[in-house]
Amino acid sequence: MQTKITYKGYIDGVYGIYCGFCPENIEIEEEVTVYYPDENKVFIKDGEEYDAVVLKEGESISDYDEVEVTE
Amino acid sequence: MTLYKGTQKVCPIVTIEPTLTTKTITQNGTYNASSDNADGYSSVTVNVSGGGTKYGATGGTFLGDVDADGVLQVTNTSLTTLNFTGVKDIADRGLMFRFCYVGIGSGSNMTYTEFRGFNIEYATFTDLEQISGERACHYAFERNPLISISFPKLETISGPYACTGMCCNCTSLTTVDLSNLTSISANNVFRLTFDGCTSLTSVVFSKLSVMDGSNIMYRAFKGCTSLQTLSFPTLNSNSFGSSTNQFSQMLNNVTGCTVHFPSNLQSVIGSWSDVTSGFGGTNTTVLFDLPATT
Repeated sequence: MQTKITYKGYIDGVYGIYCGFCPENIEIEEEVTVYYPDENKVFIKDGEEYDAVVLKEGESISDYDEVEVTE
Repeated sequence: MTLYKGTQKVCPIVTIEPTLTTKTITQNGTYNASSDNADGYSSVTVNVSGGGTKYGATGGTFLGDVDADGVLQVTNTSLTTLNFTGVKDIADRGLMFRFCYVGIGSGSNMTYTEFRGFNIEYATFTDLEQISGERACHYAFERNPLISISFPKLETISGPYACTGMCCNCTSLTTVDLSNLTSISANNVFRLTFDGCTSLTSVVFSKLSVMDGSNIMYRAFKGCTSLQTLSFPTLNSNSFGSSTNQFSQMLNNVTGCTVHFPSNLQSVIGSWSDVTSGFGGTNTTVLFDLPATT
């Protein structure tokens, strides 16, 4: 599992979402941690598969199982 | 020698029988006739006029041409341009695998033979207005040298998985015309549709205002390594129905792509997990920089 930061905010009055990198001139409104499973794996919670996870309020990444992808 | 019948003298009659009076010929060509007593001709040439393709092979679906010699051609590999005229809709599995490479195996062990049924470079669906069939274009053009695919009148897609893998691994594809597409109302419609289209740089969904279904764009542009921009200028706050995963993994294995939305969609999709994670791409930029929609 790995994590990346997504930066949300304004550049020259335009709202943007910058995933995994932070532009120099951004007015940051929010930073979000995104969890990615290792290669050839997915997260599973309640039977649903996820290729990336943004935790909702009250959630922990341990709520998600990381399993091998099956064809 | 003198022959007599009773006391009557009879003249001898000698008959030379031809060695062959009927010859069965199954193909055009030149045949040795010197031993056939063919009135002194040493050879005979057979050439059925008209030549070319007269017949086809069918078995519920068209299999291929049969030429004047009865030789099954299977498919016309020289065909590079397809223009569908008068086709207004495509039914369930209507074009499923129709022009794709032949694959052997399954899942991740899939390998491909050298046989290529078609070499389609340009496909135009001139009159197509809707795609209602399930898997109607499922992997239809996979691995063709497709340069351009055009749906100039296509307005609605309501068939589940309708375009799954349609242009998968068409590495020459540069032009996609979906300029009149207004409504998608089924699940997984563009699932893996442009997977591996490494020459594709930009797609604009210029009239798309309804995306009501689950996983509509699931891995649609996976591995499109040249993709720079996607634009959805006409989506609005009522476009999405109850689903929030329309863009799931849309940019899987894509780096540095910018996706443009109308400014008012920031409050609608800006917090969606798939948007925040960059649609599964690397260093994705999502901009809400297009004029607001109503």
